[in-house]
Amino acid sequence: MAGAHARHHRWRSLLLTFCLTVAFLLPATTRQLMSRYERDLSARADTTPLVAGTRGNRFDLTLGALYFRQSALEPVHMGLLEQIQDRGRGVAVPLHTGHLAREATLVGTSLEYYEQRGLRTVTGSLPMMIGDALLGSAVAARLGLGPGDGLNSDPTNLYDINQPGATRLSVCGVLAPTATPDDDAVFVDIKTAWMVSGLVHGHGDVTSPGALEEDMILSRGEDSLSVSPALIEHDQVSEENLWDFHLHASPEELPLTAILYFPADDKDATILKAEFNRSAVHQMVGPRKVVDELLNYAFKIKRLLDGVALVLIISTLIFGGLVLSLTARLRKEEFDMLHAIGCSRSATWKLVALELAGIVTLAAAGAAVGLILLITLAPDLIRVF
Amino acid sequence: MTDRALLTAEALRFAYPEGRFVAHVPRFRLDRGERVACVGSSGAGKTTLLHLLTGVLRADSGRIELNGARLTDLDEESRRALRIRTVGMVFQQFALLDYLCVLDNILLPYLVSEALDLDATVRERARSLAEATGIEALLDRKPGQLSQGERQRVALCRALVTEPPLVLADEPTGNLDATRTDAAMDLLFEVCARHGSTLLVVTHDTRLLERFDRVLQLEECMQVTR
Repeated sequence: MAGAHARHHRWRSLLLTFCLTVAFLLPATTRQLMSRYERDLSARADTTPLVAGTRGNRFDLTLGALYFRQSALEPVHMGLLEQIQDRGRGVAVPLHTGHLAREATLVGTSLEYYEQRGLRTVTGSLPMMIGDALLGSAVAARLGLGPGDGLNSDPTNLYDINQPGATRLSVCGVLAPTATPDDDAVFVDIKTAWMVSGLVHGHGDVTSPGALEEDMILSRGEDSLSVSPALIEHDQVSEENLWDFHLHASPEELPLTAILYFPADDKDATILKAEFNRSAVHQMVGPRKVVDELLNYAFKIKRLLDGVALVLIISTLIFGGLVLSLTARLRKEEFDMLHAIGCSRSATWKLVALELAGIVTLAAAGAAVGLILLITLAPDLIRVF
Repeated sequence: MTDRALLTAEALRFAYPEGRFVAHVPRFRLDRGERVACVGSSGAGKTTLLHLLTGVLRADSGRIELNGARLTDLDEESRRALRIRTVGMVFQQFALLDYLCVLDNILLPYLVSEALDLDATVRERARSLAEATGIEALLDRKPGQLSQGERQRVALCRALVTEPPLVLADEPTGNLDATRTDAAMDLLFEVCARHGSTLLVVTHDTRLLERFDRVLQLEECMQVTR
């Protein structure tokens, strides 16, 4: 009878079911989102003991180093990495970000990165040569590329020929999926990153007599030559031009976005952190601590969202109560009749309660299905990375 | 109570909790197979009398015997069980449930009470009643799809599906025109006679009274103090 009543008043039942579904779905989604957020952020932070960079916003440094987010911090220099490496204890890994290749973050690093993160290739090999690119699994799937294919870096400025143009990279391998930001990145050797930045470049012979037309030469020094920007540089590394690539600065001054440090032990970590924290220029942070701070902010928002969800549920319950009370009033004659023929008052309320329970069950099922659909069809909403 | 008597009441007193009025029924009797009309004006307490006699309202004092059972000594649950087995009710405006089909409306006493078992025999009885009243083709329809006359037949079938010895009808023709009133009463008399049920009709329509074995004035049956 309860089912028949609900079906007979289908629009009212559907409206109530919809309201309850929304009231259940919103907090469930928030909870799912927050727990995923916490889990993913913490997992990434836990596998990265220390991050060094220029003194400034520690959130910028951490998010830039762990999740390859664009950072407003000034770069550190390669010399700093060498200083850390010279201590001969833990493993220091350079990171250079800031360029894109087909909209994926281009990450310049060293082979130690893959070892420390436990990354392995599903096809091809790690980037062993300048110009090689190793694709994260999501990038490979999105672009449909594999070993042997070419991939262009995105030019920084199309309208300024002084800025480096697109660099043709050679895909050397694809990483296995990890459900981390590594899936969405393109990894290259640190020198390749500098090449994309225009700091390392290659061109044909300019010093031999007659190698260049005179109007291409801007000035001539005793041991230097200044040429016009119109000189065309190599946009791709090949076996033939590999030895043409060079840089016009001290290697120690080349920029890094951050340095990941995997200490030998706690003592090593503590000493290095203490040294860095005495510096006015550099800082070293423990990502877990920074992420915990971030999560605290997130949990404040979660508490706010939980409050909103609670208000939503309470208002829906009040709405449901109102519907019930109006139903009881509208059905008074029916209930009186049922009582007169021999039905107990409690049985009539059971009918109403059963109908409501059916609607609540349907709404809960709807919310569960909605959550599953949301996770399946809109993973980017749930995914942190 | 003699074997002929189906319902007797003595010295009943009932006061509405809200203090609307106090009802007093000195003596009331219905014999088996009788067709009795109780006449009273609107608002005189006809429904109160029916509810008192069937235990829907519990009398503050007095004694009622229904089909051999002392109704006034029973608890709420036992009164309900006795009522649903012994009394069939036809309500003013029929009180059909618009969300149930005709068959389920007829079977309603079985759907709402644990005192009755709904089995194949009962379903067959419901179909027979529908056939006897000419609504067998409408069993799957909803009351909203029926005419007034058809609705009245459904209400009658519902009152008789438990094969009650007593049928109470509360203004059963209150909203029917003269032609339909006659047809409805014909049906009521015929079906009750066929099942040997006692019929008590409360009405304010004096045109019908000739057809009853006995006619009672409500004021004679029940004194009301406001």
